[in-house]
Amino acid sequence: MALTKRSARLAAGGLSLALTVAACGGGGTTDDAVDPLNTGDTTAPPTGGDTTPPPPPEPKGGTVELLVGSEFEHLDPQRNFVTNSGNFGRLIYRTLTIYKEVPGQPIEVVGDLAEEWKSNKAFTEWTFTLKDGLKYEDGSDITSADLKYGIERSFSPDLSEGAPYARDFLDCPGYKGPYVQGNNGGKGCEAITTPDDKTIVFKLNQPVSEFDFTASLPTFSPVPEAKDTKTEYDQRPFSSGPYKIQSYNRGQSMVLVRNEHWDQATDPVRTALPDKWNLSIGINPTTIDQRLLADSDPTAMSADTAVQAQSLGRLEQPGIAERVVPGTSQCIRYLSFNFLKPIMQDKALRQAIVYGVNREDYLTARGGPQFGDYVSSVIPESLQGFAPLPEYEIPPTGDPDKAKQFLAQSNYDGETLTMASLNEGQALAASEAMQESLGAIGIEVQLKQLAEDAYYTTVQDDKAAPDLIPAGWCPDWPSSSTVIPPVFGEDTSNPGQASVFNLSRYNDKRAGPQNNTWERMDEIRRTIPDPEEAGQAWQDLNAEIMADAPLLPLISDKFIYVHGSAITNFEISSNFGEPDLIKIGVDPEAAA
Amino acid sequence: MYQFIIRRLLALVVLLLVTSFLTFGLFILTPSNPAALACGKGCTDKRIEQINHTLGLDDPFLVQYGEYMKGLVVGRDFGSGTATINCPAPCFGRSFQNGEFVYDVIKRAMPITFSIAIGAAVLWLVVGVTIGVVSALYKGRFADKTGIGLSLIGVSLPIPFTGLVLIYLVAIKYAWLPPPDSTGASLFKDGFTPWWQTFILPWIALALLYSALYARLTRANMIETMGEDFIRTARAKGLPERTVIAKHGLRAGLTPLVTIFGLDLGGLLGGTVLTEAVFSLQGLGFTAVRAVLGQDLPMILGVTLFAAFFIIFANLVVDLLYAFIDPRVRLD
Repeated sequence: MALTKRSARLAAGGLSLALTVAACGGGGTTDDAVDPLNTGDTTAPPTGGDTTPPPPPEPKGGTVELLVGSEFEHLDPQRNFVTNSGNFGRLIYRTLTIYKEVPGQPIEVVGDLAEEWKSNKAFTEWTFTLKDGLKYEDGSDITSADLKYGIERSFSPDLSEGAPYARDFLDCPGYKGPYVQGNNGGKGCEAITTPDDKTIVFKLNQPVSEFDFTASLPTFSPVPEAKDTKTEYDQRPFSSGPYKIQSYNRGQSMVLVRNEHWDQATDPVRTALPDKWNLSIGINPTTIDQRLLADSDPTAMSADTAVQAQSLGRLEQPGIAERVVPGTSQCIRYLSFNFLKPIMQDKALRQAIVYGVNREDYLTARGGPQFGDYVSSVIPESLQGFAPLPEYEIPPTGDPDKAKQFLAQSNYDGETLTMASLNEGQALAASEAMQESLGAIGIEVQLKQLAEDAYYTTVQDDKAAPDLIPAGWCPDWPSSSTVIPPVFGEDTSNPGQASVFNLSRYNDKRAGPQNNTWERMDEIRRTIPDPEEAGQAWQDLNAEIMADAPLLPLISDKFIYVHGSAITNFEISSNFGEPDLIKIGVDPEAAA
Repeated sequence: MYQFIIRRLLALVVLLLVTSFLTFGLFILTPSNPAALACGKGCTDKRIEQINHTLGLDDPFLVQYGEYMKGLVVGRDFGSGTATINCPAPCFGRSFQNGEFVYDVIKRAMPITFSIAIGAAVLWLVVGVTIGVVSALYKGRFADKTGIGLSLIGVSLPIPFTGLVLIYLVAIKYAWLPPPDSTGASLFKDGFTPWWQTFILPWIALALLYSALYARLTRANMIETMGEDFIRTARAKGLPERTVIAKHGLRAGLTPLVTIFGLDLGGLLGGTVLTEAVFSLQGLGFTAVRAVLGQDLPMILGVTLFAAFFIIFANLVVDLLYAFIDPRVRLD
């Protein structure tokens, strides 16, 4: 995915591949996983993850000055599919499930509105039970009907910007949302049923073993029908989270105050320490830097704007160094080799490129070592099962000798290879750096420059895609099942052909004889219940695929944040690639 | 006089129509794909198609233009089923980026740009003309050289530089003023103090730039005018020097100033892009840049039409002022 200059979009597009038979997934234990009486309905025991809320770390109170660089496009949860709004949105709405991030541990899915959940053996029917004591900002109860209505809103073409998963997975074909007259005779999306106020059942049109991960997306957030202002809901979402909007001048400022009816005991991840949030929206990134570095307001911080490149030199200074927090996102950048092109089917040539690219120059073009870590795999470090791939642990400047050896072994005869590139900015400089380093070992590369809005449509087009494609991928949710299948897997609607995000067209039948890696991907989902084991299996499969050199992993995105001296619990969420807003606190003494 | 005004107003309307047509045409004809931008990652062909349809981009050019124009006059409905929402006339469409009504966004942005432009204009007029007059009267002497010298330094300082330095020194390091953002930007809603505190730095930054021009113009005009016979006559009549300078000297030299001022102010009202970006103020300029980057056609059109309107209107006012200042000018 193109990591754009502005907000990196929430990982998207990883449609779970159609599975032939269900697998045990989710977080349950294995012993009682199969129903011995084979009544066929429930398998994995009810799971809710660890829903014990942590004792909120003191201190409580204070006001956070949140400096926001880019305006929120949509605060409406069913239209919210962008990182900065997704991170912030969790302050004002809750979802069925949510991620629990503890530094140093893999990310876990826990129940947010949901107390527990279970699915049938085939992973096509999921039942969630809501907790008690869930209330909106006006004290009214959050019910399963509200959740159903909220999810149904995402089907409306008027609110189409949100995550597509409800539309893609729920089995109500042809449903066009609740704004169509009569709302399907009052039944809405028939794949969602609410037997009582605390229960919601989903019927899926395909097995989705990780539907509990899907249910953490903002789409799965409750909206009471009476409060639905439809396309105007962006201006003032009705809060189900720990804070509510007191005032919102769009594009300029916002004030959040506490939702007194939110109950900490029901919330496993949010600490809701500050009493108030004052947002200043649309602040120039240089000004954000200046303000935060000078600590002119100790309660200030930014979530969507990291330290700018020009300020990096000041980060060592005393008074600043203690407030610097580096972080990584789960986004990996790599260079794909397009197997549909006969010349790229030459393995020795691919290996020559792997050793020939100077990743240090590439990283310098992207801003320098502060902005990336070299990686050897497309699986990010924070995922279950991650392990570096030894043969891709290449020196950052490459290995020109080895590259030339492979080049000599290949059939390369001076042809000019084409490489896609954005037509401006760091991305262009980075592509040029790669082009130059390949030129130095004797491979001619020409850049095919593309405008931002045309990049992905071009490289996904089999006819227009060039030989070498710089790309990036962020997992949809913290599991390798949203990395390996999209990046190396099959297009479920066109069997035999590569997924639209598999830019290498690896294993595509049009690129040559197919191996069995796609079947093995299915198998992992089908037969391995335990997340740790599954993580290991994905890693092994990854190693096998990478032995074929379908792409060269380049870097994982890194960035640095600075915060005011009175801000506490400032941790970077690797899921969002931003400071985790639901943990932030204010130290009243330092704020004074 | 009234015939003149009516004719000019008609010309304004025609010009706006032409501008809108050209802007629309340019957007549609240049290769651009706003649906892809709005779609984001994980975009499939089907979704792009759907977004194109929601945005109305799959209609032929003239239909799209017609819908837009119709909306301006009688308003337009967006959405479907029970989510239909009416955009009252004048409807400038809905932003592709976040679905807000363009007119609402512009209504929010305009006061900010106005505050910047008008405040800066007053400041640079006062400063520039004063320096110019003083320099003219003390021509060749220290006051002249200093005044012109300072204003030349001012004109060489680009806004990104002056602005950031001012922000850093005034708002951050010494904290004499709160840091720049849009929270105090509405005079009527937020009060006088937050308002001038928000805008004083942009005013200074802009005035530094523009004063030089006005100083030099005023100086040149004054020097020429003060050498005229009628000035000698005025002095011979025994009028106090102040009256000679202000009423007779300055007024005569005003015409070129008024022209330039009209153009400058009109242009600024259309969007002080750099200033707004540097000072984190979401005025028309800022909105325009965001719209262009996001290929947000309705917003681009809206901002362009407003900017064009202000420029043309400013020109009209300038022409009227001529007749007022200089009785020799006849409007025809």
